[in-house]
Amino acid sequence: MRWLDWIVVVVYLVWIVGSGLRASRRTNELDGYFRANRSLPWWAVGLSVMATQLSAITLVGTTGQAYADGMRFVQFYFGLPIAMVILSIAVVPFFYRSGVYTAYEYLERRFDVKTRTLAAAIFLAQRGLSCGVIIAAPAIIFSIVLGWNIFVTILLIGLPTIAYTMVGGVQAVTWTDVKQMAVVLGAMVTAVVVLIVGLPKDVSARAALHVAGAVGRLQAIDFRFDPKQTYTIWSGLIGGLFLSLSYFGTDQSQVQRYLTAKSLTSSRHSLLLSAFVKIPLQTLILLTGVFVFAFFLFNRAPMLFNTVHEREVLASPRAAEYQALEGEFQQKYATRRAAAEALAQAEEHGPGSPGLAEARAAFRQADADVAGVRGRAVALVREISHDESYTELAQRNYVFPTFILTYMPMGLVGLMIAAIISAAMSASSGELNALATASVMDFYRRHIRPGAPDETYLIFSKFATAFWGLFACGVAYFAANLGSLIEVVNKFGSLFYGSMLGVFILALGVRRANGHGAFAGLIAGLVTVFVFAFHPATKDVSYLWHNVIGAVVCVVVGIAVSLIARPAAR
Amino acid sequence: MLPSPDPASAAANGERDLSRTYALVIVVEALVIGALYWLGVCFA
Repeated sequence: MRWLDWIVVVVYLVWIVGSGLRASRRTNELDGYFRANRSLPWWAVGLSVMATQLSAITLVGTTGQAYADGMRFVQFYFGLPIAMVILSIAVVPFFYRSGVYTAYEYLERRFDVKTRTLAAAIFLAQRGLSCGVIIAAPAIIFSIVLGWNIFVTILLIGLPTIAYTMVGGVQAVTWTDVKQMAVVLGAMVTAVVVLIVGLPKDVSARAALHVAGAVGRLQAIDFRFDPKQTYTIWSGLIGGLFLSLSYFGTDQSQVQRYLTAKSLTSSRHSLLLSAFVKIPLQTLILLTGVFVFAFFLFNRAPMLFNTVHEREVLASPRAAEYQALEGEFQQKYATRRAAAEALAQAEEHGPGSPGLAEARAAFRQADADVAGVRGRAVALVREISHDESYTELAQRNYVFPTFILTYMPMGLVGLMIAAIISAAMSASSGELNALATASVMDFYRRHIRPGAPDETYLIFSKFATAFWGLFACGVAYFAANLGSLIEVVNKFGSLFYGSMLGVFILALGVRRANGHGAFAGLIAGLVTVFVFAFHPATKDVSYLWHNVIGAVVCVVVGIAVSLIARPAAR
Repeated sequence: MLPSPDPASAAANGERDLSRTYALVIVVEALVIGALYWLGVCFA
């Protein structure tokens, strides 16, 4: 990073924290702090809903995923629009009209306090850990790519977020989310422009996409019905539907967003904004990754994008082996570049041009050869460093940051770094605010100090925000490099989301369900999913199906136990 | 099942009927999926 990039990042941080702290003037009451006095416009809430879900992992991991594997990940979001419609019709009215502060408060009204408490505890544990991963992801990447101390990068993201969330509550979170979405969108469009401009003069964007398409990077839809394939249209429409229903319908970090809207209609509109925009937005991010792939066909790329062990490898007795691989990579890379240029020229002449099929075959072979060298290099580094987390999968997270730092102009590097920090802050601020709300409403006010004045709860909520923020920073510090980060976060969430959805299905959709059934169903769903996820016979099934399994088991067990066990008199 | 919101009281509260918007969501999603499929076919 150069001086102008630093200025851009510092200006961004001052601007965001300042605007977040300014929102604190309107948040000196409990309702203002947690629900913004139900005053927010639908578009601001809608952008906040999207910003809370769009973390740095999305920016860095998704682009890396597209670089390595193409557009297939977009199928993950196919269930989301349908989920938003269902939630708008069936769930949002109950939450909005009930006047609750948390989704779990609703469970006590419907069932009993033990169901509420268990659900809230699961939320705190799961969200607290995932907030740490959300901070860890960009922090680890910055520390490796920029050479910064990991502790510093964690605090760079964590401390400003804690500050404005603690002081400003949900209003600070929402209005900073709006600004952060603007930064992210602007940065992604800028990145695409730089990528296209960076192609050779005789290679058009259309030809570059054809070249990327020749090795499957633009194959977005997979119609196979194979439970072991993570991303197919079926796992997206069905598994992704259940995941979205649970995440947006039962996770406090999202429920709290739409409880702040001016009216029920505004609340619905805020979710429907995601329904329209989310898939196109993800397509833009994935296409950015595809263009990065195309860019690196014609512009110098490193053999390994994650160079954390390079010094150790070059100082080891096997350095000559590594350097030989480097030499082989340069040769194979040059061959692939020539093949890519030839293919691009053939594509420019249209589908029937002579030699097109041969050019495609030559390029595919050359691309496979480059991938082979990289695979051997990764294995060598893993053997020398004994770092089992150093895998080909983990390389993906460093592709986009490497492009940013190597090829983007001065000033725009700062914009991209600010965008990655933005995405991390917007996701974690929403989660911190939700964690504090659940801590106060579902535990402190409900069990420890009921009936205290609102000022007491307001003070505790600020301490709770700080506590969860520092907890997340601690988790981030101990988090290892965990493969494709966006998959890790979604896999972890899918262990819990299905069962939580099942409890709310029982609450809203099964009249005869009672507290005993809901409680038993929730536990049965969690146990079933955990066993399914880790048992040797079933652990290879895509994690998206865990959401379906958890929900179904919870509902079935919940109904069965409800029919047997009568609720206690209230 | 808990009772659905009463349409009469919903209208009295100024809540809008969003049926067309819901239908539009499904239509737009189908179009976007179709466009993504076309992208793969066109550039494969």
